[in-house]
Formats: sequence, structure tokens, C-alpha cells
Amino acid sequence: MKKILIADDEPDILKVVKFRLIKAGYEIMMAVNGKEAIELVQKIKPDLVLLDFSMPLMNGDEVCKQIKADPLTKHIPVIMMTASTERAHETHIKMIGADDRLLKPFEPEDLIEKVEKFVR
Amino acid sequence: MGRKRVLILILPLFAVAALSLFFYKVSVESRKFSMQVDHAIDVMNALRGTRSYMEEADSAKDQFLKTGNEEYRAEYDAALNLMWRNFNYAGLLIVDPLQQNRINSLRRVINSIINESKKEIAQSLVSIDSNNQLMKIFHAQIIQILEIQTTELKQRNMAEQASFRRIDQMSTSGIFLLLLFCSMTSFLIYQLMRHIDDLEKAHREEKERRDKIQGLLRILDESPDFIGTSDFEGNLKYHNVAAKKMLGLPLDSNMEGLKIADMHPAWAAKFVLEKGIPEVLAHGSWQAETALLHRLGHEFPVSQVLFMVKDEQGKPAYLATIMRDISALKRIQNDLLDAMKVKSEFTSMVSHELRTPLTVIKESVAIVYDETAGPVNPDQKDFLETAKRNVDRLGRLINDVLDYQKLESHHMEMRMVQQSINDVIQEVRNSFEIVLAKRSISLEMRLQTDLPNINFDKDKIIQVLVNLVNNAVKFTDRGSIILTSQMIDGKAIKVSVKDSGIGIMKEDLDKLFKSFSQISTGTGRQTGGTGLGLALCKKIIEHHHGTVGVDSVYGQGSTFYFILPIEEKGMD
Repeated sequence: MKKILIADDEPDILKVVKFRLIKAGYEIMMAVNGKEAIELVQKIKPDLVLLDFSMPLMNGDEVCKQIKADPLTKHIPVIMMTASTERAHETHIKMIGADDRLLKPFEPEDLIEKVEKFVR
Repeated sequence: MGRKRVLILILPLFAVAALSLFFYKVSVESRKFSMQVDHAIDVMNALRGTRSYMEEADSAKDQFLKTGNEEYRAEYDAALNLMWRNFNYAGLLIVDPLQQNRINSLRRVINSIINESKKEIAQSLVSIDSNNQLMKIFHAQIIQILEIQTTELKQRNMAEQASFRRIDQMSTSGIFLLLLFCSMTSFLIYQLMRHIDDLEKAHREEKERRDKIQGLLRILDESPDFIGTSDFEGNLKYHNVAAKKMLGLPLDSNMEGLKIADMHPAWAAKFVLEKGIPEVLAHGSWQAETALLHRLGHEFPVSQVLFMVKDEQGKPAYLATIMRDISALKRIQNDLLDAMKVKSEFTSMVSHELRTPLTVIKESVAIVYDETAGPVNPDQKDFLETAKRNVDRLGRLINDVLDYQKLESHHMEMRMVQQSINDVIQEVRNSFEIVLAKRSISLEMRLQTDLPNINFDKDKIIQVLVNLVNNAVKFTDRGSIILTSQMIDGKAIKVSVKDSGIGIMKEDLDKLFKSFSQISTGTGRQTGGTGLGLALCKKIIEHHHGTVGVDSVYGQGSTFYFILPIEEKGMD
């Protein structure tokens, strides 16, 4: 079973995304801040990371950069989730080294589609 | 001034009048002399006449006595008569008393001659002796008188000539002296007046100069701006009233001894001395926002101009500066910056804080709706769909409001790239394929193939096109929607979306592109619009320096279009 790490400081977001991905057949781990997220990534090395941009302790940008800077984790695909159109912009995504983006509010189909693109 | 000029004119006139008077006097005098001479000549003529008629009478008498011819007798009488008349005339003319006496004694002689001759001749008796005797006496007397008269006439002539010579000398020297006097006086007066004029002019100019300086000083002192000068070593020289007020110095204070560095806070003094003055020396002037230091210790921002003043030879003489207190302006500027910051923070807050709960609602509804969390009955599903549709609408509204706000405040970042507009139209058309497959509308394209690439933000133009096509789809039940692209005059590209929908009433056309002005369709149609779509399109196209527009016939359909310029006019 593929492991997906979801990091967001909004418990309700975590709740709905987790529910949908479990139903889709994935194993889910959750982090409520950037620091927890990077620790989990280094420890568990999930198959995919869904990262919210704005999180306490360490924001999503930083988490993504660290994942991509570490040779042990840089192969893990990262999808950024954000409510800001600016930060969801392609150039910004490229700059921090993320693989894709999900603009909140996203369509349920989009979520599954993007996840499946990387975890197959 | 004028009166003095008149004096110069009057003086020669006076001289001319004096000369005229002088010549008049001379002419009167000379006439008097000539009259006296004329009189003497008359006397001489009368005496000579007397003598010659006497001789004539004498010879006539002799002839008569010889011949006894009566003719000689008449001749003798006539000559005697004329002699007598001439003599009387001479007697009348002569005024000299001595001559008068002689004439009077002669008159007795002549009377007896005439009486005796008349008698003798009448009696034809010839007693010539007494007659001859008398005639001889008369003759001698006349000659004597004549001689006296001649001498007198000579004397008179001589006197007259002497007097004329005198007059001549007098007038020559008089005229010369007079002219000399007049010209000297005129010259002196002229010189004097010129001197007076020069003095007056100098005085007037001095006063004008003083007035001008006073006026300038008043302007400087009334100015609310700091105006001052200093030498190149930074020693302050002139300063106006405002300068003292701004520095908090007493108005009667003398600023001597103060330096440029003393009136600025340290940072501004450094700025002026190290940046400003070298700049002025190199380019003549410098301006910047600096600050002044009030005597009580607080500093305030000023807009400063520093410039060089040159002397008459064009050499740098000293530095001058004008400073305006911009505290109020700075406060406003800071408030504005704060407000802009708040606005941008608010915008990002809204985008995050509204979208996050919306995501949760949307996902939750979707999970229930698509039965991931267990089965739902058809009624429940229907309401969940309604909820879903409105959540989507709310999401669009948030997006549109944020976009509109950004475009309005020019905070929308445009990513302008030279690219093909036809590719974008194609992309948009493809994205509508699935939607339109369910409906009886065809989406066609009529693209001009040889269009040049133009500069635009792909995402934004897609947003506009999607918006226009969405509108067309919403209001068209059947028929076709046609996307066209075409070049206009080689200067712009027009992209239009033509539908065969319900069309728009003429009176509504103007409202279309205004924000939050959804027009009534009159069909109770569920449009799900935000009322911002077309206003957003307009803003986006305007950011591309283009125009948007619509042509429509109510009941037959509408054509929405936008025109983008081919020439790049700079980025936003």
C-alpha cells in the first residue's frame, strides 16, 4: 500500500483529504506543522507528500526545499496545496522544486487525479 | 526737466531780440543823419538855383538892352522871378541863425533889385549902374552863403561817415560779444543741466535698485520655505525668516558662525556634505529628501534643493538652498503605505481564510454526494448537488473579487510573453468539448492562420476567453458558437465569440462591462454568475492596452470581442 503524507495546520482539511485518500486505497500519515512534516518524511519516506503552504513552525515552501535538498528524500514527489493563486503559480512551484500544485478549493477529481499521477 | 530745456531755447531768442533792437537803433540813427544831409543838399541846390537864375536874368537884361527885343525882357522877368523863388526857398530851408541873418539882409537887396528893374525896364530907361551894383552885391553874398553851406555840408558828411564807422565798429563788436555771451551761457547752462540730469538718473536708478532689493528681500522673508546661502566651506551666510523659524532660532538672531552641518541631523548633514555638495559642484544643482534639526532636538523631513550661484564673471560664488517642510506629506505617504499594506494583507487573508473553509465544505459535500461515506437517497442527493453548485459559485466569486481588486489596484502581475493567440483559442475550445458534448450547440473556429505572435499573459487571456465562451454557452440553447480571430489593419488582432443565443437588449449593452451589474435575462435562467466576469475581462484587456466590446441583436445572438494591439506597448 502506497504511503501518502498530508501536512496541513487545518484539521478539517486533513480530515476530508485523509478520508478520500483512504477510500481510494492509500495509507495516510498526517502532520499539523512543517517541522513534524519534515521529520515524518525523513523517518518514513512516504511515496507522496501533500504540503500546505502556510503552516506554523516551518512553512510548506521550506519543507519542500528541504525534502528536495536531501539526497535521501529528493525523489519523493511533492504536491503543494494553497489558497493563494500567486504561490500556486508555476514559476513559484518550480522555484521551490515542487512537482505539482492543488489550488484550494480543489475539485475531488483533481485531488485523486494528481495523486494518481505520481503514485501508480 | 522740460523747463530747463526751454531755458536753453529762450536764451538764443533773447539774443536775437537784443540784436534786432540794436539794429533798429542803428537804422534810426543813420536815417536821422541822412535826412540832415538831404536838407543841406536842398539848401545848396536852392542857393545854386538862385545864383544861376540871377546870371540868366543878367544876360537876358544885357540882350534886351542891346536889342530892345521884348522877348529878352520877358526872359529877364521870368529868370528874376525864379531867382527870387529859389532864394526864398533857400531862406525857408536854412535853419542856422547866422545864415538866416545873411539871407534876410539879402532879401532886402533882392527886393530892391526886383522893384528897380521893374521900374527901369518899364520905363525903358536904362540905369544900369545901380542895378549892376546891386546885382554884384547879391552875387557876392550868394557865393559867400554857398561857400558856408558847402563847408557845412562837408562837415556834415564827415560827421556822418565817422558816425557810420562808429556804428559799424560798435555793431561788429556788439554782435560778436553778444554771440559769445549767448553761446557761453548756453554751453554753461547745458553742461549744468546735463550734470543735473546725470545726478537725477543716478539717484533714480539707485532708488529702483534699492526698491528691487527690498522687494526681493520681502519675497524671501515672506516665503514659508527655508531659503539660505553658504560659502563652499559650509559657513552659513544669508537666511530668511522661515529658515530661522524652522530651526527654532530667535528671529533677531544672527546665524553667523553656524555651519551647514549644524542645521541638519547627523545623517542628513553627511548626505548633504558628501553627496549633495559634490553633485552641485559637478552639475550645478542637487535635490533630495533630507531633514532639518530643530533647536529643541527633533528632526523633520524636508525636500531640499541645493544649487550654485555664480558671480558676474560666471565663476562659482556661493551655495544656495531651498527647503520645504514635508512632514505633512510624509505622514500622508506613510498612511498610504500602511493602508496599501493593510489592503494587501487583507487580500491575502481573505484568499486564505475564505478558501480554506470552502475547501473543507466542498470536500465534505462531495464525499457525501458521491457516496464515498455511504449511500444517500435521491432527495438528499438533489440538495447536496444544490449545495455543491453554490459552493462552486462562492469559490468563483471569491476568485473574481480578488482578481478584480488586484487589477483595480494594479497589483495583478502580468506575465507577458510573445505567443500565438490561435493556440490559446484552440486550447479554450478543447476545454469546452466535454461540456458541449451534452448539449446541442456546436463550437466552431474560424481563425486567420497567418497571425503574428503577440505579447500577452496566457492565463489571463484564457480567463477572458473562458469567461466569454461560458457566457455564450449559458445564454445559447441551440445553434452554434463561433470563435474567430482576425487581423485589423496590421495593427491589432480581434478575437470574437459569436453566439446564436438570446441576445442583449440595446439599453443593457452599456451596463454589461460594469462590475456587479448582472442584467435580467427575463427567463429566470440560473446563470451562476458573479456579476464580475465581464468587468474582469475588461480590466484584463485594458491591462493589455486593448479594448473589449459587444455587438448584439436581441433575440438573434451576441458577439463579444476583444482587440489586442500587435505592437508591444510595455508591460504592466
